[in-house]
Amino acid sequence: MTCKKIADLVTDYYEGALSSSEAREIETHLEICEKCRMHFEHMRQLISAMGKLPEKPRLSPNSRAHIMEAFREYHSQQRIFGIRRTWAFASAGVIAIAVLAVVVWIVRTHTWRPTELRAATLDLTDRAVLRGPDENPPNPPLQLPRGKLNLTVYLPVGSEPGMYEMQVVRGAGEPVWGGEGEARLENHTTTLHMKVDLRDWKPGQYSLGIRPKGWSWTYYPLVVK
Amino acid sequence: MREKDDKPTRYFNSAADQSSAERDDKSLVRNIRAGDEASFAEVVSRYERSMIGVARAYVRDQALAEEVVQETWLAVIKGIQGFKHRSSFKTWLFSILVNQAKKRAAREIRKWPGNLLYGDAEQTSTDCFDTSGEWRSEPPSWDLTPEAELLSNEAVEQIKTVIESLPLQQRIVITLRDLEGWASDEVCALMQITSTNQRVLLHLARTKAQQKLEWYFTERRKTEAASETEGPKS
Repeated sequence: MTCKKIADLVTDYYEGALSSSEAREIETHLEICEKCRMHFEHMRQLISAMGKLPEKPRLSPNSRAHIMEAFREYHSQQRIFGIRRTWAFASAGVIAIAVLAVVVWIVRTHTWRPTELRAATLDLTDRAVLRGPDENPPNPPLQLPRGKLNLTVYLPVGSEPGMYEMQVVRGAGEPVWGGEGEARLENHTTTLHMKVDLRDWKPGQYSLGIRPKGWSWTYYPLVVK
Repeated sequence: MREKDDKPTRYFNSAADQSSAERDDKSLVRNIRAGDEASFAEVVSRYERSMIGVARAYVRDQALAEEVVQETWLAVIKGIQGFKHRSSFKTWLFSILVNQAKKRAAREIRKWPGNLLYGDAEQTSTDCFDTSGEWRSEPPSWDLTPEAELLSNEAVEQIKTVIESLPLQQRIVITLRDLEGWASDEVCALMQITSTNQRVLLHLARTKAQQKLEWYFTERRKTEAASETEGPKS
């Protein structure tokens, strides 16, 4: 390699970018060539000196204050009541949803789904004794309001006290409700007390079946309003 | 794509501890995002000199350079929420700085000579060599206590002047590598150049600085010799 070629490689050499054979070739050359050795040494000194140049200026206090002020201002805008803005928005959202849920719950429970038991009475005293299909078509259908009912049933005259079963059937389908209770004599009337929850029932026509336990059903038309 | 630099470095390569730097980066970014003023002030101080130095490569005026640094930090304050750690924080910071500096330089309608990579590659010390590639003359000596001499006020001024006269990319590379002590891969990442390109730019810049200094010391020797009236030394 000529001296010029060697000089062209000085940076690659110091950067460690040469193959080991190239580097060895340069080192061999430097041993025999005083001028190139001096050139390399000067370069090394220059690089080292540049690393030790007097400290460059810092930011002026003014610029620095401006930067810090911008930082503070940005982050105070990001805060609402001292909370990070994203958190503030998120918690406001959660609170709004919670309030809405409570309002909906209150409205539903108070207007649509009264929870108190309502007293309701089904008077069957003037119907035939239970012994088969309905025998008195002229009677108007029984009526019940929708709601949670404390139901009192006056059984047809002649019914004996004892365990009774009741069920409600919609159309010809499956029973939508069933229950049993003990009928007792109250004021000379055989009376059955039952709790029925009709809140989820659709208004319309049903059939109410009653029988002494183990006997056959007698059905009465029932209208739920 | 970057060329792989797998050979051991011989001199002047500040190897950074990558993994701890990454961890530092993550906690730093988290703190700044959370609005921690002390962390922010610390990082402003840590990079202020380098940032001014790089900005000066574009705008060459301290006041303008400070404005560029300010604009950079404003952009960082707003942009750090979106920083994804795809590069180091330092590379990200300085790439914003370079963009701000370019914008500012364009606004100031300052046109710097030569933005070309290899514009004067052939200039490399051709005049020092004869046609056979031998040294035309001995490289002028800067003698016995060279580093102390190199750090004299005049020599420092000479170095600064020659760096300011370099084409933009050479100026940035020599500023970051030799004045700011960046590792070569950091410079490559920032400037998006290959390590070969980076070395070429660095070589051109260093060679010019060296020639300028050699010229300076030669001239100084001559005047010293003349004033001492003892005849020329060499």
